[in-house]
Amino acid sequence: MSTRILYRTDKDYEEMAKSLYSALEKKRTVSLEFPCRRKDGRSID
Amino acid sequence: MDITEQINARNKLAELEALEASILVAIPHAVIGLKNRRIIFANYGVQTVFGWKAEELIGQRTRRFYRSEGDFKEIAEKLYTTLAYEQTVSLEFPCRHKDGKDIVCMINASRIGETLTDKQIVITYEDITDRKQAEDVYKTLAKSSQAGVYVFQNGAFQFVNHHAAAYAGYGEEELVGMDSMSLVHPEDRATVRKNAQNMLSGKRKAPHKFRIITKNGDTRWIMETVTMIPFRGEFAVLGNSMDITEQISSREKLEDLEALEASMPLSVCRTGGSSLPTTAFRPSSAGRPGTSSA
Repeated sequence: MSTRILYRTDKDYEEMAKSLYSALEKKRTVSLEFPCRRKDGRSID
Repeated sequence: MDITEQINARNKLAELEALEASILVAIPHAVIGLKNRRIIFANYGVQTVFGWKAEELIGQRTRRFYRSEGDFKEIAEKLYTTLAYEQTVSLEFPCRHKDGKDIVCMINASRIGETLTDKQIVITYEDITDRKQAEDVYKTLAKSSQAGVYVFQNGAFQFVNHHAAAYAGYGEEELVGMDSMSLVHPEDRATVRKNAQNMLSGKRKAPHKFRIITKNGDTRWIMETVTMIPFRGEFAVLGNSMDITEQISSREKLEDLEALEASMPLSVCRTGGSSLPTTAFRPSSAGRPGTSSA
């Protein structure tokens, strides 16, 4: 299963993937704040 | 000799070790492993939380994470006593940064394996100092507010200020842990749930009104707004309320008077054969459009 279920939209999912993988190309760890979504549909900021 | 399985097993082990190392690096909290109360591993998060480098901690006791010898003994007793019969334990506890600053940590500990052999445990420390300070700010604001303020989480009151408790006729501590919906008048519960959900999702901006049943069985009217806040690391609902029972009661009396007045035959207002303007006997009409007394 992909982590798409953790995000609000396909766009957010793609944006997160791009941010993570491009940063992890250059360094071992990355930290960022990003809106997510719970199973019950509630947004987590 | 076929060593394919050995090579596969070794590769699998290397993969697992790489995964474990990446997990420990990615976790922002401090993670340490203890054996006989000595640190056997520590992740990079220990530097973020406590200021100590991982290599400074190996072989050491965790005494340096706490404010005093007393705290160190207290936390050890709590952790090992609980882990003797449970797999995990969580608690908030005061800790100390390398620079001497006091912090508050959420400590989660888990024993390694089924029993507490050799006191082998893993502990994570999350610095929750900012969160605790924010909660203290909520409480300070709530205590000084003239409105009824409360926080409920998982259906129960977690915090109630003096005014909110007084509306319901309870003491502040009596309400903590109580099911918040149990105070709401049974006929209003469904509407309250719906309105609150709409407010929390941003669909409704206006406050809602509903009835509560007080401790001594009286009915009182409350006007309330709710909003979502973080509290003790989870979502909670912050309620702001006012007791509007007197307003409702006054309005009902006014409506009764207006209804009575409307039902009065105009002849009642005529005395001694002289006809007076009826508005002179109708104080509630003052200010209505077209009823100027000037």
